[in-house]
Amino acid sequence: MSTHPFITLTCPAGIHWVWDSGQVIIVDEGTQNTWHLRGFDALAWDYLMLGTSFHDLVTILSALMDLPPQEMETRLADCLRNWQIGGLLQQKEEAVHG
Amino acid sequence: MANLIISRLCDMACSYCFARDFMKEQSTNGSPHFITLADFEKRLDFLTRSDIREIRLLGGEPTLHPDFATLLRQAYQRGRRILVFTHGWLEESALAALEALPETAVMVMVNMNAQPRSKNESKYSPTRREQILKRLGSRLTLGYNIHTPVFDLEPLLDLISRTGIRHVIRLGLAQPALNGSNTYLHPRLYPVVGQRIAHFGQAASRAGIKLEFDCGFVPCMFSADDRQAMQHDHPDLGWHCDPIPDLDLDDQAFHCFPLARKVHTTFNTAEDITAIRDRLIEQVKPYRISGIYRECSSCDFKMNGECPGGCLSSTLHRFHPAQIRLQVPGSALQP
Amino acid sequence: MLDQKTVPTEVFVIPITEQCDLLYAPLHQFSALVNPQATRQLQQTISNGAPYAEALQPILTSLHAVSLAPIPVRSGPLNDPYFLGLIPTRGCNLACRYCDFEPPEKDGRVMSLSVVRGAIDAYLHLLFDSARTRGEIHFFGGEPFHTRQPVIAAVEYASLRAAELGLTIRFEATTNGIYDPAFCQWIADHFDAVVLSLDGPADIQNLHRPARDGSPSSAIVERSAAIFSQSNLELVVRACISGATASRMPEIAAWVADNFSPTALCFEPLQPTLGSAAAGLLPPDPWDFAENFVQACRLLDERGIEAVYSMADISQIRSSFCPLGKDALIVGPDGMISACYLLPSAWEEQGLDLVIGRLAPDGLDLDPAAVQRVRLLAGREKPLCAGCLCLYHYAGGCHVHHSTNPGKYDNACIQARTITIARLLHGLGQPALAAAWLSDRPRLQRSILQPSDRLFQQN
Repeated sequence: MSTHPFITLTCPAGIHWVWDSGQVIIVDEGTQNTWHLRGFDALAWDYLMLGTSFHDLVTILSALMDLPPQEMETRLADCLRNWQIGGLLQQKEEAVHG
Repeated sequence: MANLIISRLCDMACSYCFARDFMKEQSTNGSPHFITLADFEKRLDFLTRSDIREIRLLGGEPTLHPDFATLLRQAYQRGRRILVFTHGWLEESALAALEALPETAVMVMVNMNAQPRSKNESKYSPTRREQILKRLGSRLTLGYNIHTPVFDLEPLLDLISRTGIRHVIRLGLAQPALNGSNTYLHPRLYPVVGQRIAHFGQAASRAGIKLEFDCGFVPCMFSADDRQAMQHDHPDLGWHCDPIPDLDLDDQAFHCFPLARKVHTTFNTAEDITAIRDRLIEQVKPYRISGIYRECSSCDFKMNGECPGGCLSSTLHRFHPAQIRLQVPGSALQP
Repeated sequence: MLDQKTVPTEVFVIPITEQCDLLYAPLHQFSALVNPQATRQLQQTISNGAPYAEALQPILTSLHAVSLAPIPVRSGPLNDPYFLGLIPTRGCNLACRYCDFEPPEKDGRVMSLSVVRGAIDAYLHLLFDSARTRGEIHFFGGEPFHTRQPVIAAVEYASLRAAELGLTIRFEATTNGIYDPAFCQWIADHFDAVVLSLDGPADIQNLHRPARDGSPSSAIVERSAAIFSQSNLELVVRACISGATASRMPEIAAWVADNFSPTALCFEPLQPTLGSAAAGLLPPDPWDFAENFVQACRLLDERGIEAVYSMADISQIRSSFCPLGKDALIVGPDGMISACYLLPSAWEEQGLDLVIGRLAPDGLDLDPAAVQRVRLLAGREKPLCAGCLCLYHYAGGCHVHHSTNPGKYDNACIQARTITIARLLHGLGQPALAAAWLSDRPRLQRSILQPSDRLFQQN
């Protein structure tokens, strides 16, 4: 039996968001920080708020944007990493037994 | 400006009241129903130090305060103009206290669609209220809170001409109390309401009566033609969502009643109103980029500073808590 | 003197009572109540140049004024589409008793993401190349949200690409309301308008529109209606009316209005199908439908809500009642492009071919001859329609479902004509006259069943 490390990302408490024309507006009530996501980032955020898994998101977006899945995975990962750095997402390491 | 809450009690049961749930909570917490004379005096000192020219008294129903006449005298002695927000079915003592003040010293804003809790028809009859309006005369301004898309304002025109009160009607839009249960006018219905207001605005103008808007109105609820006509006939119309802090009995100041549970700060009467207001504004600043509609954040009226985007409570209703639990391969996230 | 050459002939007259006729000139946006003598004098004045009473001058002046022109049939390349329609699936998660759509297990085709992308790219570029700034994307089914992925992808992708091109897109869907609250909120956040099928309170809704397993649907649909009513989207509730529920239209109107405050409530008479017959559901008596619609209209008006019977919408001049003829691009699950969102089998039954092209890898592959053939259908006048006062708004009705036999008004005609006339009477400030006319069935039938309404018969 092997362990494949997956990372679980969640939103900190106090993050609220709204879909506005052409952008997603996010507010952290605790820090008063705001984010305005547009384009690809807004699309990714909206899909994630619908509960779309990472794998499905890669599949859907690579079909829509006509990009190879590997490239889409990289692009999404960059997006998620930026959001982590900015405080929109926080990380918990969990071990998933494969 | 600042609003002084002097009474948490009200004998109305208006379905659209955005203060009801909050006031009920405060009452069940064991907090007092009325401001003490000593605390009121401190509030007046605070207003004087903050150079606020108008003393605004509200509730609940402020005239239910057992010492309302005394509070009124205390306020009058400060040499400031007094504004009282009321449903208009005043007890004789409160009415007499208001009548005793010169017409230039006090203004009374009467909510003309207040909904009495009691079925006491003689106490809450239109006839009785009209008699009260006549007695207050030019001290009085009519107000009306629009909470359904169908409403009739025409009777107010006749009432004004019969009673000799100010030729002004102040319109309000019933706003949602955040985490509350009041009836309110949804922004989706604003265009229908805008048409009706524009139509009434013409009749009011012909009768020599000016309209004023309370907070939360937006220019896009009117067609361009209606907006132009309204602004020509009623130059005091505006698009506001700008806090006049409400100073509650227990030294809490809040942004406005709809946001009372969320946007508040403790204050002491040694402070200045500007500092209190700034603290409240700071709490809601991140949400100001948005508005009551999706389109607000890219709307010319908003970007030009003409419109703040409608009521902040309605805006906040649009926001959702971000709930996500995403499992990502660790290898994917390694830079 | 005025003569027939200078006064348009598109004037219709309907006897309402012994003492008054309704005059209606849609292209002049004009209507009036006149006595029958005045009607005869107008005919004679215009035909023979006979002298006329001074009282008729305002009418003659109105009829002589510049009129709206009938909408011409489109021609040339299709570069100004009415909207992009997407049919993500023909499947549905309900088993409405009057529906003739197949269940998903029989037609399981789902629009692929490549078709979604191709359709949207082609449409947005068409808009951009035509220097338009706004577009519309409508979703149909079956139940378009029954399979979510294509719809979500379409909305997200269209929003992304439209922003890049400086375009604004309006999203609309016709839906049954069967989804969880979170997804319902997503629809509320992203769509501009939703037509929600809700036939009435629970007893009606559950009889007409049960789930596939026979369980009731009302609780879920009402929950969705509540979520929509708390959002900023335009909510139109669409209620199907059967023979048994026609008398309850006012009740349905009050219930919908008081619970959901929609922008509009649209009443649609049940169209008979094999399913409806098997379930014992009959279409409403057209006279009952019309009379109850007018009562419901009054109730809704008191609440600031529009009552809609789409066949009697006199607010605009139309050459086609439906998207057909207006260059709508309706893309099916397999990428076929047609002018109609009904099942192809339905229009094929009527001998119609409404396919206008196909989605190709490099964009729209439209057949110009097919596009023009469909456009010409919209300009075609059905025999009874030529003399009908509804010509310029009902415009012959649905090309698939409404084919009038010469000389015989069907239920749809009776409903359209009755409600149109009632609307015109209300517009003239005559609600009492309209009510009296509606309740006098012999008089009503005389008005409605006259073979031609034209003031001047066409040669």
